[in-house]
Amino acid sequence: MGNGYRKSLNIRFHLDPRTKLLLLILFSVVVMIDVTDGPAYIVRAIMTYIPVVLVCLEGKPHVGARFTVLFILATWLMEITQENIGGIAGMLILFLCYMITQFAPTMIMVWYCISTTKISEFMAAMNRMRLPQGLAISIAVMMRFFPTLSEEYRSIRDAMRMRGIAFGGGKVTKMIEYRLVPLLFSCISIGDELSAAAVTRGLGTPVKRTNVCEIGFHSKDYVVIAVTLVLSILYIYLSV
Amino acid sequence: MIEIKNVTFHYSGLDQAGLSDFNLSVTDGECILLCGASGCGKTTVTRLINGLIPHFFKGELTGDVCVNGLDIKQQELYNLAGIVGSVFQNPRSQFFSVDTDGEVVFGPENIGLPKPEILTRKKQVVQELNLNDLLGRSLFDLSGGEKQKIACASVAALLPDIIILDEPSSNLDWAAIRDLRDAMQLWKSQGKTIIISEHRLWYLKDIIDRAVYMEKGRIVNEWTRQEFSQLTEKELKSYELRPVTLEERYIRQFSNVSKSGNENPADQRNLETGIDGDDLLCLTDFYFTYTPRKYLFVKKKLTPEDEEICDLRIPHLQIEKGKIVGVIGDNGSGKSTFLRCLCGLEKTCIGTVEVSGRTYHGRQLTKICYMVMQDVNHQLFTNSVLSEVLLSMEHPDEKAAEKILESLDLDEYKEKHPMALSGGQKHG
Amino acid sequence: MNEKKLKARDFITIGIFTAILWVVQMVIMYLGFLSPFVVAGYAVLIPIVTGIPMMLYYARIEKFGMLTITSIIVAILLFIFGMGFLGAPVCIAAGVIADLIAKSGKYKSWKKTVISCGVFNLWVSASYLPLILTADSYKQSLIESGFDASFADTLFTLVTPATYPIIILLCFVCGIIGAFIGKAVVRKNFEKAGIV
Repeated sequence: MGNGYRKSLNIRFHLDPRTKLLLLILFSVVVMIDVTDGPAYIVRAIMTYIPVVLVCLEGKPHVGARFTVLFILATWLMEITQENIGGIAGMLILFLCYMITQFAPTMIMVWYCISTTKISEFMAAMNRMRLPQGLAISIAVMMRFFPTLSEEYRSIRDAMRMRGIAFGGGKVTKMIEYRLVPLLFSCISIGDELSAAAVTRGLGTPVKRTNVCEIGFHSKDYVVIAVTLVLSILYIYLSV
Repeated sequence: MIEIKNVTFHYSGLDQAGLSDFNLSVTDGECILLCGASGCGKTTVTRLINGLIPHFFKGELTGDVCVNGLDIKQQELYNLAGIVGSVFQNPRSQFFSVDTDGEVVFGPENIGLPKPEILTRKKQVVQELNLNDLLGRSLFDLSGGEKQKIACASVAALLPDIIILDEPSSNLDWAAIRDLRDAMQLWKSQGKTIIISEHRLWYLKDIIDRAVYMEKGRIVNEWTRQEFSQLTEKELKSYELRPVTLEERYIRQFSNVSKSGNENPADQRNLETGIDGDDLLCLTDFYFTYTPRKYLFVKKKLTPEDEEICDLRIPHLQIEKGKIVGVIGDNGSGKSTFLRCLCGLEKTCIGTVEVSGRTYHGRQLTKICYMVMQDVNHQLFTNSVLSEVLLSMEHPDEKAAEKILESLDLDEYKEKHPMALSGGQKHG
Repeated sequence: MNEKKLKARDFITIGIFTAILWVVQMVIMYLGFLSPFVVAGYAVLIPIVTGIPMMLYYARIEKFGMLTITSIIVAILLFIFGMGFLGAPVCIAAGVIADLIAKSGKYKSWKKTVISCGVFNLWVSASYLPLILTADSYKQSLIESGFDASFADTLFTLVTPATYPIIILLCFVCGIIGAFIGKAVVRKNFEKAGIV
């Protein structure tokens, strides 16, 4: 997640954060109902490509392409396994492919939403929807913290490799401990420093927060919402 | 106007030194340097003024702290936001947004200023601090110096009367420090009060009005600007302070070296030293980039042909065995990248190292190298110094481990927690 | 000054620990892609591994609301990942009750903290809810997509409406075990370093 996030602030196809939220909700409904063939499956496959198209519009076609290949590979492998491989091994492969086709669309959607939303836009959207500011701050910190976590994790992993303890001497508990404990240490210190910096700049002032950035629905928001909504309704209609 | 009267402070739960019977008064527009060894209480003083003590860091506080006529103890932190601005040590952890624009206006947005006012302030700050190139970028992409600049801008946008800087130069190179100094000079000319706690002294000697030297939570000495810049090397050493002028001299020297062309003189010399091959480490083909060509599944290994996109380009380098080699250069010149590749941490680097006839590459390099990294907290995994040493030995042997600690003067700390040691001790 | 009200710092703490909690559980969830038996093991693995960050989190909680907000965010995330309308309320309920229990011990009592941690981990059982309530159609779709009927049966002997009480109990018990392990790790590493 981290790497894509870091390079991705050149936002070209600007959607309102609320549009993204709506897309997430619609997608979660689609993930909840699972269908494996028939016309509903085709609708589902088309819907899967909505986030892919959005990602491509953001100027990251290689991410979209990677996902497409993965998705097709998983579907194809599933077919092959169904016909040729039996037993436990076959079942495990089948399960893996099944999970990928089930969850990958949501994952890429979530990745898209997080990586293209600025914190200030998000705060503005939460404000517009009259959600409590505390919740907005918590979620905003979370969004900001994912890339930090992956950065921290990477340097811990490097340090472990240098020390030759990447596998914790073969013990699972040690493997978890050596990763989690230093990670928590740096999270705590980063958290404290972040809080100090934020409160000295007035975060939490009991006045209405101003939002400088412009958010609002434009024609492209309506198009994306309309397409997704129609497909979702069609999908629910076909699968029930 | 800042008035600190008879303040004694102890951090609760920590034996970390606080302040004892501390007095300081600062007039408007003054620029004060707080100096002294680590743990002398410099940072604690800055926290008193920006209100983090007692509102954020809990502890026992007696005495009075008064800023612009406000009693800090009675104020909520957010009321101080428009009066006292703080720039902290670590540029990585002090930004709240992920984009630079959002970060600059973060403060004014919080205190609910009207939108046109915020935009005017943003424009003004951007112009004053020369930030046009940095706007519209991801904060995760910026260098430490650039992040620190944004932090300064974000603080300045609140138009505080008092600006506090807590070791702001710790992670910066000299060019970034110069920018920082320019920012401070600007604030000074605007009549802001500046309080800076710092180890590096050379860049401050022309800005400060007064230097305060602290030891164990007390003020031991005070100098005016003139007295301060006239301190001899010997006097500074007796206070365990860093040189006021020396560093600057070195910086001039080295900046000339880097200007003298792309060829690295040290590299050339090594190639000519005809030392026996056995005593040399030969490094070949160290190419690496952080921005590889877009790829689908597998990152392509980098070859010399990719030179133009590479951040690291070292076709050949020889190092004598058993020597200590310093790699120097500006922030972002590739020092760390080189070391990371040398240790085999970057998979796409095809560099090889030849030692006494054997060639190592990729993963094998991690076995023959060790790197002490900048952020020590990531490298310590256990709960006592002794077990930390035992962990990295192939055949754990307590006797040998104790010997290592003894040689590093760490044996008295062997049961302590590694994270509880000071920065310097952690590096051991 | 109202000391009971949550302040900016508390909201930042919530954000950070919720991020850690979610990332840890995502890693375990990814493991679940490899084998359905790991999916059944979520009830054990997630509470125990998240015990470490949870205990650090509890050490920083002093006011009512922090656990509740964490559970609300987790519920939103569960919802987005398809655990639906059923899981989310359970998750929030678990968070509120856990918060109330910890509050009754003024966020200091170790006994109350342990029980609260056990209750909080019931959110893990919430993520099984859609699986259980739609078990029949789910099984059907598994078989349709090529799974052996016997395989689907084995999978669903572990997770059925009948075993659901056991799963709930398992979440609670493992939450408590996780609390003890977490506390031990915190004591071993963090208290000695003077951080907690």
